[in-house]
Amino acid sequence: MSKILVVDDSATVRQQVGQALRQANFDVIEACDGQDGVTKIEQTPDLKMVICDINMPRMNGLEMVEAVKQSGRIDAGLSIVMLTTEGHPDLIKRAKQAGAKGWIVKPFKPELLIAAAQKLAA
Amino acid sequence: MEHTITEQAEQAENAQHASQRKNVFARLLAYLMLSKNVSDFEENYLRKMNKIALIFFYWHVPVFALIAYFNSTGALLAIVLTSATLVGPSIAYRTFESQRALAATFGFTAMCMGGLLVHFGQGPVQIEMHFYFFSLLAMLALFGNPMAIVVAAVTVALHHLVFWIFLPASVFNYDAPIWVVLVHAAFVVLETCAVCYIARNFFDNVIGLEKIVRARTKEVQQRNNDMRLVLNNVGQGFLTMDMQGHLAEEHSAIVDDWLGAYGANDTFWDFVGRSNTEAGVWFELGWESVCDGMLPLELSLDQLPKKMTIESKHYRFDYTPILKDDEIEKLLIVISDITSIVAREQAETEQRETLVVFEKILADKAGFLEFYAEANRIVAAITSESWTDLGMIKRLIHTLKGNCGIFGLTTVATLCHAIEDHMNDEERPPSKDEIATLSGRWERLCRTLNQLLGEETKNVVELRDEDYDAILKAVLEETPKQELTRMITDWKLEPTEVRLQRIAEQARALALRMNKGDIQVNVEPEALRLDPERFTDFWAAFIHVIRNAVDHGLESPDERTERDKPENGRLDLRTYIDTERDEFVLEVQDDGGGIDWQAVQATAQERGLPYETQEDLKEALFADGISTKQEVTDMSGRGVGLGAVRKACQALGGRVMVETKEGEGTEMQFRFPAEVMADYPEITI
Repeated sequence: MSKILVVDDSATVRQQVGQALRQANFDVIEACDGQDGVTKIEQTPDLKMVICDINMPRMNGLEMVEAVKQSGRIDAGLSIVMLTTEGHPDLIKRAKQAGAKGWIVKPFKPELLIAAAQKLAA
Repeated sequence: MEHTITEQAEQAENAQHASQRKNVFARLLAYLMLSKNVSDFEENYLRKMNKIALIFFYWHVPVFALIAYFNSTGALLAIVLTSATLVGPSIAYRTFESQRALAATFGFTAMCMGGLLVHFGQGPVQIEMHFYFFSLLAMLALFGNPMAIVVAAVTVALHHLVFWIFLPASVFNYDAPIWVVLVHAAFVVLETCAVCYIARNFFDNVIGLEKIVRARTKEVQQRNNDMRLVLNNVGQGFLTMDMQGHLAEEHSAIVDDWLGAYGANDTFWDFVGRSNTEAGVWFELGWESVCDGMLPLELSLDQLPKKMTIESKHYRFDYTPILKDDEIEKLLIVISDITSIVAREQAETEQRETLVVFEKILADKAGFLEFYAEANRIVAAITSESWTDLGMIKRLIHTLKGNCGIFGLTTVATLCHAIEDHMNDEERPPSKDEIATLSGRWERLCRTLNQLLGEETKNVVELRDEDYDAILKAVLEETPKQELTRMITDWKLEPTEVRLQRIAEQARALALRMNKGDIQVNVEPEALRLDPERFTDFWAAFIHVIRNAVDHGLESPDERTERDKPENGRLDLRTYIDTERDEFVLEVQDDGGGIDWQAVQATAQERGLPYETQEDLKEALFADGISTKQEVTDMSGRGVGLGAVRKACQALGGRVMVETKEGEGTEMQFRFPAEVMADYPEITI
């Protein structure tokens, strides 16, 4: 079972994403903001994928992607996908430059989220 | 009868055979005779071949002279006869318009040359000279015309027969019997069949190729024209785009009407971006994701922009990948004008909204009227642009949004939410267009509401049965004037119970909408009454407190269960008189998670507000623009609410107190001097 980390300050979103992924047999870990996310990533060496909100307190998604990039985990094969509402194209561009693989728009379609997880966390 | 039938059948059979025979003959003729049309290609080809043939025939003169000389058959005679034979073809070459007729003439000429060769080749090799007939027949296939060969075959047959009879030495070097002539004829017939077949095929497939190509081209052109006709008249926009984003030239004409024309070097996002910048940016970004292939194709395609508004028109975009070996090679883009669908949906939403409003009015007309009056004031303030700073317009929009949300005016709430989004993103007041859209919607809504509410609204005192009984009883009992005055004055005052019940209902509805479960709201009003007009602004702003408590304070049922709390949250609403301080107190208590002071601190710090002491933080809580909620919804989370409440409270000489315990809940008290509750007329006795 591949491990996926869901980073979002909204418990509802974490639950929705987690539920969809668990049904598709992924092992889901949750974090409530960027800092928590970075810690959980460090603690989980066999993590395959991170699904990450952009707008979060303490450390936002962009800062988190940049931190993970610096730690070398992205180059070592960890996939990060941003989860965002209507959002700003600029933030997505920056996230992609920092090493995110892409983005998923909220509200997401569970089957497409799972397809993304199967492609990136396999 | 039977006899007749048999006869008839026989006749029919005979007729059929006859027609079949005729058919075979007709088909053979059709095979040998080419169709009348002569293509330019055939014309040119035959011109060239005929010229070569004539030159070739002229060369026979010296060659035959030599052969005649060596075979002692008379070189001079050979020159004269061969030249004489060439007179006819030469005239034909000059005069015939039809190159095909000329070719047939040359079929005749060729056989004459064969006859001359056999004649002047008299001697031991005369029989061998006959080979020339067969060579010539084969060469005639080059004309691609079976008739030239048939003419030649008939010519050679007649030549042999006539000369065998009248001048046998010209044909045979021995006394050949008739069967030898027939053997020669059989060989000619065999070769003629084969050469005719070759010539016909040469005509159909090589000379006729140009015709075939032209027919095909015409067919393709026709098909293109049909396609063009479809593309010019179809009501949807069809475009195809390659992986670099360049658009194919073929597209439906309506695209030009909707989005203008595009150039050969335009990408789709450049093209769309000219009409709608945002859509262009999103498409480019989305297409990059399709191309880099990191995410599943269906996800990337799903995230390409689907809707776009240009001026007052709405368009929908559908994308279909054109795959080759499971790899996307091109994208088919279908654009549809959905303006009428959007308009219908909007009309439906507005109708539903009217229904909800109607229910609200039936349930609590007084409450609705109050909301309506206030909302009118806010809209007037927004449209008159009497606001002075960004904070004020944000508050106005936010209050309008919140109130409209509660009273079911979702279209207005949605418009306000969009305006707030833009204000917050760009830190600018709403644009003229945005204000016009909002006030336009409000005006339309007002027309509906005025019909629903009727003309009479404010200037009526509604009297409950118990109040009527009470006053009657008081008069009969000769209650002192002072008391009677108070009772009658109370009619125009609003019992806090009515107000708190109204708020309780709104809180419950709010909680359901925000997935906070079926919360329990307790109302403890005591028998207090307030001047509704004096408290209008306060009550309008007070909604923010309720919204805050429900949205930020109370946890979701799941979270509550995790924390060993009852599944559904609780909210207490109280009004009472603090006799010690002579204050009217309005109290709101929730059993939620308490205020997240750390978050307040972080936000205060970020916004440059003092954050060292607990007092600073309480102060920050009521500052404009503070919200600890990261995700804004249409109901709350903009951080302008509590500031407005405190301002309204202070305007009545009141103050706000906050007590909170982490994990246990928050209590807010609004304390007013008792005398602001209502004015009672002074009675002098």
